[in-house]
Amino acid sequence: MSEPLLTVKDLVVDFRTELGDVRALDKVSFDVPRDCITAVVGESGSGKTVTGNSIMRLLPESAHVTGEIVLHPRGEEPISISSLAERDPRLRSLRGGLVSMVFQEPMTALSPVHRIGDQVAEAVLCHRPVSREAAWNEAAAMLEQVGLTDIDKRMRMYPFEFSGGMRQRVIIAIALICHPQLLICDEPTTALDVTIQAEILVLIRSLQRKLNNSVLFITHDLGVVAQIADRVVVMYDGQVVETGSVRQVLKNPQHSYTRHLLASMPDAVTDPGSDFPVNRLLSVENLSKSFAGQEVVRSVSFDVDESTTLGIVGESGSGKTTLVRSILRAIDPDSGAVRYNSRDGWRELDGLTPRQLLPLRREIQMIFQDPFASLNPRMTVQAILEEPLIIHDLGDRAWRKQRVAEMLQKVQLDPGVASRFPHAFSGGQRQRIGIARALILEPRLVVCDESVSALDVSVQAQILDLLADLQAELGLTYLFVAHDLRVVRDFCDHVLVMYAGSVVEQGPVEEIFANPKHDYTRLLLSAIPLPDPDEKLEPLNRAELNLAEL
Amino acid sequence: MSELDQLSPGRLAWMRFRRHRLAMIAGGVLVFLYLLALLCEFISPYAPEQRNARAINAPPMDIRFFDADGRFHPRPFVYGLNLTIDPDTWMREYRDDTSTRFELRLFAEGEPYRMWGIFPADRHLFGVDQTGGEYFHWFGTDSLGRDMFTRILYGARVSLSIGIVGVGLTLFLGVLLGGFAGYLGGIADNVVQRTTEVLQSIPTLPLWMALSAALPAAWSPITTYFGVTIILSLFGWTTLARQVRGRFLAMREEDFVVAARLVGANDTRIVFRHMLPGFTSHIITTATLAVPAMILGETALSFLGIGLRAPVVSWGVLLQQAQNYQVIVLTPWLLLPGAFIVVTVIAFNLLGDGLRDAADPYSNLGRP
Amino acid sequence: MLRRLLGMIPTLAVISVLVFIVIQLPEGDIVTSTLDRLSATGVEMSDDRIRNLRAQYNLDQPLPVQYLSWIGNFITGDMGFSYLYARPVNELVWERLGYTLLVTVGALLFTWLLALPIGIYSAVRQYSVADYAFTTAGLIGLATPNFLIALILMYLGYTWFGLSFGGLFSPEFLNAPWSWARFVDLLAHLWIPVIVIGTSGMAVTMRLMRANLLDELRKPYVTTARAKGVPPLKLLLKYPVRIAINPFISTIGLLLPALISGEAIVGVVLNLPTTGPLLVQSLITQDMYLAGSLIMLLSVLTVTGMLLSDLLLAWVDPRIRYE
Repeated sequence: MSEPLLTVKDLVVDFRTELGDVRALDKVSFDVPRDCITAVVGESGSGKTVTGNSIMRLLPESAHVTGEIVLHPRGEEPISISSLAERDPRLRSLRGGLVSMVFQEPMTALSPVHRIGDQVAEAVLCHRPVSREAAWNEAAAMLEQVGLTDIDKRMRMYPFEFSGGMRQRVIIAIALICHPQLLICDEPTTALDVTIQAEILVLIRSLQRKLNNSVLFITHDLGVVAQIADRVVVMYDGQVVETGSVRQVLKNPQHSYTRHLLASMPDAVTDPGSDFPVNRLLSVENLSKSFAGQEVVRSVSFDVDESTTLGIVGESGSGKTTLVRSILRAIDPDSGAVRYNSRDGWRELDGLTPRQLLPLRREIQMIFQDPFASLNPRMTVQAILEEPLIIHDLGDRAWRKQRVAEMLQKVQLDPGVASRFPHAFSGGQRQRIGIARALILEPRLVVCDESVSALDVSVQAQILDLLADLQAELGLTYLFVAHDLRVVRDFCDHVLVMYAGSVVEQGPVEEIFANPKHDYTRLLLSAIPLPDPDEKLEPLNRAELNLAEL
Repeated sequence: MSELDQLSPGRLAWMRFRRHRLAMIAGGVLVFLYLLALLCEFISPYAPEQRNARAINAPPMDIRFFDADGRFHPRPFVYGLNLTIDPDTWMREYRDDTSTRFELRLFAEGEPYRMWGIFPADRHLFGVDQTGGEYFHWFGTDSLGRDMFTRILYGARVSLSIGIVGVGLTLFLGVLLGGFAGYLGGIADNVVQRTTEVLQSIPTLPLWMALSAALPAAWSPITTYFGVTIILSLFGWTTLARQVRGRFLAMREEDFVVAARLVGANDTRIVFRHMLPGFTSHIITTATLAVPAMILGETALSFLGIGLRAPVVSWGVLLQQAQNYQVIVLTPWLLLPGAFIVVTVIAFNLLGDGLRDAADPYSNLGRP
Repeated sequence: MLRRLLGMIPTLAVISVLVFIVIQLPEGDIVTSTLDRLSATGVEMSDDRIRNLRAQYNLDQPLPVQYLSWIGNFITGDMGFSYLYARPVNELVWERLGYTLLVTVGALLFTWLLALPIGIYSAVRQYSVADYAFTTAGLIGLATPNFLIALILMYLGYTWFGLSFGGLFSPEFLNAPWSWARFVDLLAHLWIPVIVIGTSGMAVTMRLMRANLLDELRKPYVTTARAKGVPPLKLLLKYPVRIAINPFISTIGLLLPALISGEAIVGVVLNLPTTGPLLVQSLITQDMYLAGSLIMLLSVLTVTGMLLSDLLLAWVDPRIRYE
């Protein structure tokens, strides 16, 4: 085996904060071999992004770095990246030249006021003494390689005219145009829809094979790791806990944390279904909603049985959030009927005044996506959980206090935390508080709007377990909005696939996943990155299926 | 869990504010200035209209502990003034008369006054033996022999309170109209939006000037005072209304507000329990930063002679005496009210900055 | 473009109504104040003469008619007659408006040329000694009323150099025809009001530039450019500065009313041949036609400035251009 392209040795990074030093990386050591893709995987706070930024020397001034990062470029002297001075010209020729980087946020990673072509060509001009015209032509060729069409026109456009997937292709073009020997990708697909993610992953993989460079791929998703990487570095709490080939790490993990991560991955095994008698709870008919002349939800109809879970999937812009908010009457739908089988019989939800709606609010509740935004930062947990009880005029002070304590226990929190404010809790804990608030009124129908998407995968697994337990205990019905199909397959009984505001397919989960009828569903399913290196992604081609990016 | 986790957001904000040293000092300075204004009858050694014929246009008098011979006196004193007239230029000039020492004393007897217009008294915090013909003008006197220190304190009462009253009015209008527009949306929103746009495109000072000039000269000082205050706030509310509207619109969509709506909270509860507490800190900050504009507006109008007029004493009215540079060259101490304006405005700005930093929840102190 | 231009019209219409109401506010009108003045000198007027006078000024008509005739005349370029100066308002205003524009635009340029680079420096060298020094200087400038700065400058000029500032021309050029020498003389006087008026906007502009740039510097596209290997100075100027400056173009609209307000008062102190002193005089003597026309003109100036700033913004920012 030849000498590795990059060696990181005993890398320690401390951030100076007003509350003292915070250690982000603790003696991190690993190698990036030549001609392959190395994935760095870990959850938030594991230090994976700091690692990438240290190699690019993009850390803020408050960071204190010790240890060694050495690049061994082909045919050149080794460069000790960690010991270059900030003003050293070698650092500039390194950035974008020998090493380049692709970032997470394609929406903001390009300058909004410069043309696409100029931004790509600039990377050439920064590193080689070529004419503007030559740089422009090179940029055009590169953009073609990353799969853009209509190059001449596109190069004269501005980033805001591009979709997220196209922008990410442009950023990859910028990163690759000077033929770097190392390409660092920091969560390049996290902000993208799953089908776009699949396209970008395939693109990065094929370009790596073609250009014979090395890629350091930073991600939190073991499925993505299995799809793209040859080697894996697992990080936890600022340390490297395991390294090895992708097969070795995913099939035969040595460290307990890696095993825990793998176990947390939603898998293909579906739950056995429920034994409750079939009892229809919700019936939606021809629901439509437009914003500013744009039809966001188009004539959607479906039914939900009691004590089952209906997954609603679709990419961003498909109208799934608008749909559930219309059902909840957080938004007033334009037309269509929402019928709900309440404890007092069937009711039409639309057309009810807020006063008439009030008793039904006890039965239908919601759990939000963002556990940071959905709790009022100025109220204690006690006040937050108690508010629904006060509004519905239930019980006296002492009873409410006891009820809050019970509820906290039910979501596996210590009742003693009731006097604290939301800022004292972690994301997973806050989501538990959100669940407690939704359940304190003893609802029957609970809408979960991407309720686990913002969480780390191990926390996500815990919350999903909790939701499943509560369903079994209380006979709850869930409307489960999600974009991660693996979670839906794991958690739901039925699934509804939305595309451009319409339902394209619905049915039992096993049936849809095993035998998708609609092209869009097939596209979605083909894009799921499974955490198995032997099942490589082969996403269908969007253009061939005639499905526009939303 | 760290200790910080136990604290309420309000306590956290207070902790952040306390670390803002400049803002703390500015707050202290403002408290001091407002106390001076509140107690000006007692603290000032004279009455605002009291004249001293022996000290017309007199320069500030130095408070001394050492006399001309270098002897130390435990009680501070000032020297009396000797008027000399230069035979060539006819310039009047005051010199220290080292033979007359006026000793300062606490709780000196002086011009009788009514504290806050109610309690009669004749003791002043400090002063000299006026019955014995002594006088003490710390900041000098004006062309009528009135004590500048006294007049600046009385002026503080008007200028500082106009800032607060004006901002109170602005807040009322801004929060009411901005909240109205933001919460109702639709036509109400449109009307308020267009109105603020129009008002913001008019140069304020000329319009202020026109309106104050329209105040009848026959109005009593107190009516004029409120007239000018209302004029100042009439155009000041637009900025605040826009901000409040923006916050309202943004907050209406916040998850925790939607969550409250979904458990069945009504509009009143949502506005008062969830939305208003969310931006009171913001409003307080904006208000603090708006006070200087009021003070500067009053000063400018009065300086031009179309805002407050004598016999009302405000910092702007006092500066009116220094309209041209000939006067300033001869009696530069007439600019002293200007120094008070500058200090006050700076203090309000620093305080506002500190409050803004402190009010920003979850900035660096909460967690890393 | 045309829509924006048409959008000005309702704004100006509302402003004109407002101005008209304001000039109607004081008790009495031109005729009564004339009568007061005449009766003070012992001259009495017959009721017929008074009625004629009223008719001459349209004062016998209902208020809406008076408004329409006032605004109608204003649009056709006749701003009425100034009682105070016994001359048509047109004559009084035009030459002065030119100087107002000169001083205001000068102040705007001065503010930007100084404040923007300082703001950039402060953002890049955040918390440096110079950053604190500039912030402090800006704060003092913000806190000191314009007229006080003018007074202090005059005082210092007199005590240090024995000079008397004021006006825009030296006495010998005051009524001279335009010449190169007169122009140089104008420039020699112009910088004082420009600095005085410009100072108040300095602090705000500086702080805004600093804050905007700090925001922009944290944005991912800056990291992208750094990762591309763009040299530091080029990176700073080409990306974040370029974008952080955009909002300033739109703040012309907000700065302009403030500058014109500042000019009004500084004009009085420095005795400038601008609209400011004329406005103050007309207000004190309740020469309301003159005052109303002046405020109206200044508003037109401001609204036009806002329009220009919008167009300029669309020109530099593709996101707005393509809307």
